[in-house]
Amino acid sequence: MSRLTVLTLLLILLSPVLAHSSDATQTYQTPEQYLANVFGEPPPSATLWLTGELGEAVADTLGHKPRRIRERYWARDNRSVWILEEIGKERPITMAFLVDNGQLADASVLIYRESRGWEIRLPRFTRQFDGATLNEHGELDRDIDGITGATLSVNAMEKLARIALLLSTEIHKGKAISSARADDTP
Amino acid sequence: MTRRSPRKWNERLHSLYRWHRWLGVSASLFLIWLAVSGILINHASDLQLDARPVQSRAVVAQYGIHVDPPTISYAIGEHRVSEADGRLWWDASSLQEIPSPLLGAASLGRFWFAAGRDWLLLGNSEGEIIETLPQSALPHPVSSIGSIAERLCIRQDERQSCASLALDDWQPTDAPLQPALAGNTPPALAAAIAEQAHYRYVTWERLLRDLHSGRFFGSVGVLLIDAVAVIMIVLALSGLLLWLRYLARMRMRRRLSRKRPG
Repeated sequence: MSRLTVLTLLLILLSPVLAHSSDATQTYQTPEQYLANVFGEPPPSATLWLTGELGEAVADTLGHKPRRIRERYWARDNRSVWILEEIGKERPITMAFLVDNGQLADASVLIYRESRGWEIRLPRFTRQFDGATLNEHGELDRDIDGITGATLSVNAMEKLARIALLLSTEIHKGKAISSARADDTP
Repeated sequence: MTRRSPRKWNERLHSLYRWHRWLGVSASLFLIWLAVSGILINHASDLQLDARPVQSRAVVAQYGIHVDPPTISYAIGEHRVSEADGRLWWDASSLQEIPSPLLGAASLGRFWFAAGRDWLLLGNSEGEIIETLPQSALPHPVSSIGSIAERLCIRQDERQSCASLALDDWQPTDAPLQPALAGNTPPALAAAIAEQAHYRYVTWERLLRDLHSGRFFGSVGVLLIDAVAVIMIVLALSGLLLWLRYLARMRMRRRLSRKRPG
């Protein structure tokens, strides 16, 4: 096999990786599409303030203060959808989590803006979150296998999965300050 | 076939040993640096080196990064909201990346809001972000913003909509809008924002990587690190040769001592 053939084959094999690294932002699904897939006709959104103990719990999970102090969610019956963002290495990753009766029913990457680590969107990775719950330490009840070269994105997804479960527990406990008016700020 | 003279062979080995020693000594500092920086890079995330900016003008200048300071900003009480380097700033603190240029920012009681063509951000008087809405959560694109009777409003051409601070009850309205007015950014603030924006580009991890590879010093640095890499290969090969020679000599000695009577 000539050198040129080897080089051509190598470029063909690497083309998906090169394509991903050249155009960083990838929208796999818009939040509206995700909500429509889950609910059909989505329920009106509600909000949850990340202040007080809840804010501290979220900050502990993230390892820093939450970037926004009000999260919006969509809930019907015992199901709630959380569209959350966290920075993997340099740019925010938008992810959606469907929590059904306190268990994660789905975890999806909606918008990926980093140059590396997009593999966390693949079903063979996200499937690991199906059925996950929080244990008594506020951690996922299972180990999530990482992806080589995508450690920070994997960590971001694990953190957000924990936060989605935590926030969903809060709204079902009825402790949350669900608000339709910002002047209810604690 | 010619036989190698043992004397010449020994001389060559001695010379190789000398070269091995001097190369080792001269490369030792570089090797220690490469090893230390390599360990730090491997643990950059744990040590949060990927999040800590290098706050040095000299280092940032070396990268040739240029950020234009903001010329206009919006007064929110005693604070100012402005845009620089594709980010929204609360005084000299970076809030977040914004998808399109800032079109206005205005106070609303204890809160404030800012918007661009396809986004809207609600914040509080402590400079915290309460929520950011993407274009899909807005009733229409934005060309200007303002407030009407404690409600935040967005406008595009003839369309105008207002919402409460809950941001989920948009209603069309014709009432006259009090538009957000921009002012000049105070020079000291503009300089501080530009400086912080510069620092955002160079984290300790990036600096370590560029020092590790030599890229920080341009092509000369890369060539220098290449030279160190070649020296490492030579050291490994010469060390291996010397070790094989040592093994051969030991084997020979053992054989001779076995042959000697008594």
